[in-house]
Amino acid sequence: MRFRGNRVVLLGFAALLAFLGLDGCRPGSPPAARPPRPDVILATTTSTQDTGLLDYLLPMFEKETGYRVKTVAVGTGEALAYGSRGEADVLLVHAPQAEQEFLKKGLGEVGWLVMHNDFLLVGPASDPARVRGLPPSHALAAISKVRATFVSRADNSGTHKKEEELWARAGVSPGGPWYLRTGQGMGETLRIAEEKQGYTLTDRGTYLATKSSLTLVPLVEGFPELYNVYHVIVVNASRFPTVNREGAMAFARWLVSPHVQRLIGEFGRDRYGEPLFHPDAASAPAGERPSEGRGGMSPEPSSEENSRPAP
Amino acid sequence: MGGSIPGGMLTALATEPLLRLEEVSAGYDYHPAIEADRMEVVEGERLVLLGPNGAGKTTLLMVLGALLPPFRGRLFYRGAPLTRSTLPAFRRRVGILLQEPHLFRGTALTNVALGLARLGLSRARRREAASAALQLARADHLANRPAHRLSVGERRRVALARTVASSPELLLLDEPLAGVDPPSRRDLLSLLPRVLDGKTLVMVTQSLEEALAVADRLALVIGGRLVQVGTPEEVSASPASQEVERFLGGEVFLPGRVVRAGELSLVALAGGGEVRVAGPAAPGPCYLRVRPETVSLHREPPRGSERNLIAARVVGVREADRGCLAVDLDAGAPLRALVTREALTDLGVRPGERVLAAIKATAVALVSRVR
Amino acid sequence: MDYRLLLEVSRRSLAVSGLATLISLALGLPLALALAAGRWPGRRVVAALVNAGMGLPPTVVGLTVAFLLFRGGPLGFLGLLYTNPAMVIAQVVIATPVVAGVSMAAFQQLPRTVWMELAALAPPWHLRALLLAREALAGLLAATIAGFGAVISEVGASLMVGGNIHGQTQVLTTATVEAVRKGEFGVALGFSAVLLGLIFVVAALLTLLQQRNRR
Repeated sequence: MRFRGNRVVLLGFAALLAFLGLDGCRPGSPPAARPPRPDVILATTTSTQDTGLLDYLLPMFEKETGYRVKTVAVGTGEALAYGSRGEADVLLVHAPQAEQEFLKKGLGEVGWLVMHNDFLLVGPASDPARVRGLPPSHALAAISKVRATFVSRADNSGTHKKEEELWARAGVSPGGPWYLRTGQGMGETLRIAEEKQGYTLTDRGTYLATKSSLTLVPLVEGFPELYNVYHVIVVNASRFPTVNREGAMAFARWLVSPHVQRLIGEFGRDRYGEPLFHPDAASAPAGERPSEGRGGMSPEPSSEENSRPAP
Repeated sequence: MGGSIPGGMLTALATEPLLRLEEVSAGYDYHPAIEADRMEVVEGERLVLLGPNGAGKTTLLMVLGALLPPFRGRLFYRGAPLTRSTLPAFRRRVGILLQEPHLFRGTALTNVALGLARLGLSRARRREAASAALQLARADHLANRPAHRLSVGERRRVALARTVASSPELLLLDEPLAGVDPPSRRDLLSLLPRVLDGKTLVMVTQSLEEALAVADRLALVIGGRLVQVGTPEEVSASPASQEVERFLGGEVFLPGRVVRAGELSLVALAGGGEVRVAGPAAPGPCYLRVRPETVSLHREPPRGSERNLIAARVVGVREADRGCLAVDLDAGAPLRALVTREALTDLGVRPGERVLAAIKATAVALVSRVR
Repeated sequence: MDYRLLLEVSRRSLAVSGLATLISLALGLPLALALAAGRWPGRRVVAALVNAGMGLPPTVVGLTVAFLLFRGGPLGFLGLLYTNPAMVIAQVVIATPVVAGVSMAAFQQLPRTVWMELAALAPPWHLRALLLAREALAGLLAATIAGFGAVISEVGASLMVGGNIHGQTQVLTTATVEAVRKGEFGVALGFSAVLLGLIFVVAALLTLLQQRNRR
């Protein structure tokens, strides 16, 4: 039976096939040599991903080493959860307390200091709560006192955790019609804050990226409590045999290497006029840098009793 | 060829029948539509399933064609029960024409070729056979017409061609002439002999006339039951029940042969004797449909208008409707007269005695048999 | 708007969802036929499951497939998580009940005589399948459109098993979500527009086929 073809339909599907061309493999030159186990799963936070730093750095890492990094950008909580199950090889997160817990439980082999960026408190130019220049916790106390609109991410992200920390320091439990919870990412939260002309805590990267569409201005910045510190953690392979230890270690070392640290320090300058991050690996304390012995942020030296292979 | 084999002889020949049903109950959705204790289809015969609308004839045909598994009972093909392994061979040798045949997307020719799909022939042979079948059905001019652009009559023809294309030994036709206008009807009827050609036929119809034109034997299906099977003359002579008699209109069917056609045709009865029948008729085998109330009994040939006189012997007398009496006669073939009590007393005959049965030429209908 | 990115992501969406739809057709059509025409024990239970499956939340599917593909999971050794094949698998799970359910209804709509004729004519199985497909074509095309639409527009499963990895597993839907999260609404709209465009083109082509075949 002859196919009662409709020429238009055939042409249409042919066009779609042509459109497909190659399937969406990652474009780019294949690296020199692929290591036996090339895939490295990096769990990080959405705000880190959103700065664009990884999109900038990773192709270089891949080209140099042949590893292929799969960046899964989720919330801090989820990233640590993946690590705690061995579903990720290496983590890049910025939640010091949670990271401490993680390493204390022996879930991570090493945790090295990479960089920091900082948070800012932005708000309407009119500054109804008069917070300009105040230390962060004082500023928050003032905001809650006058019930000025404050927009919170409320999504258990690193930013949100920092915010909670500051509220705790201020001795205030925020709540009420003036305290808005968005449950969303930084970009959306900033937009909502802009709409409502409210205060919000944001990381510098996202702020710089959205600055042009905002009338909100930075009101509190530069205080040490506002620093947002990043560590790279290699998930403990002796706990989780499926972890790609070589790849994870290679990435972690690479990230704290002087050359890459320099790149990190330059990132964002041409776009925003100022860099987004400050590289810290060079000034990292003993426990947070690669060493001949075992490394890790664990404050208990007794954990060295469990002999782990030298990295 | 006619294929008018007397029923009695068939049973005598009794080798294994082509098809046999035993204790069958069948229907759709758990509700029985037909029950038949026992039924046989003899090779080479033409069996007509006859009955009123909704009686279950189609269902019975579907069972015979193994298209509907019965709730209970079995179907035997050449003495062996049909199983999964013997089914394909059965299908290859059976052609089924449904009451509302479905033509698939494509031309008439491709549809007819579908009728050959189960035979495993080469494409060239299929095309050949399909063309031949279309020719046989006098539909070859429709070969390349798309199926959805065929008229009802044309679809029937094409479907019929599809059914016979595989030269099946058994044809099951479900009301092939239903819903077709009279001229096309005659046309289709005349196609049957071309198409039948020695095959076994089981046909379903509601029309007594069609049945008489075609059947060697009748299988009467009334109210969801197979009530009687036999030749037309057998069934009309001794209807198994009142329902059967009522369905047949109380008529008696006499087999015969038209020996001279004309305004007044002459029919030679199989049982002996001649009858003149008003109206033109085609020469050849036929059935006369006689209504018992139009049969009058006499001792002597009566004077008067043209009457056909048949010598007969009184077999019995019994009560009939409305206080009349039915007189069963043997005139070489069974016959029946319906008379009033007075008429019978006037006649003064008793069972065993000879009488003359008179039938008016205008009061008898003639059905030509399809050869 | 980075047009190269848009092109890369659109191609991937089309490839992943297109392939998933084709596979689900290969799985769903025979299943639908068996459900519509067959008489086997448990048939009605399976039919109910298929119909229920049409409403499977993609996120639930994504979660389940992810659990299977996690390194610690039963199929972890395959190393399929965060790859395109993983997304295809999840989308096949989403689309197959849709395709099967709609096709089953299409087959059941065929008049009984079609089945009887097919029984009487007893064509070889491939011819039988072809005949049935052509008879039920309108419904089968609807099933295809429904299946494709369901998977190309889902985000829950793609996000979970694909991970939205830039340059590797990012598709239109996950890219849109990411753009919204970053506050880049213009970009999000761009991705959405292309997504709608793709859906429309495919649906239009299939509709042309479907409507062309009316008797």
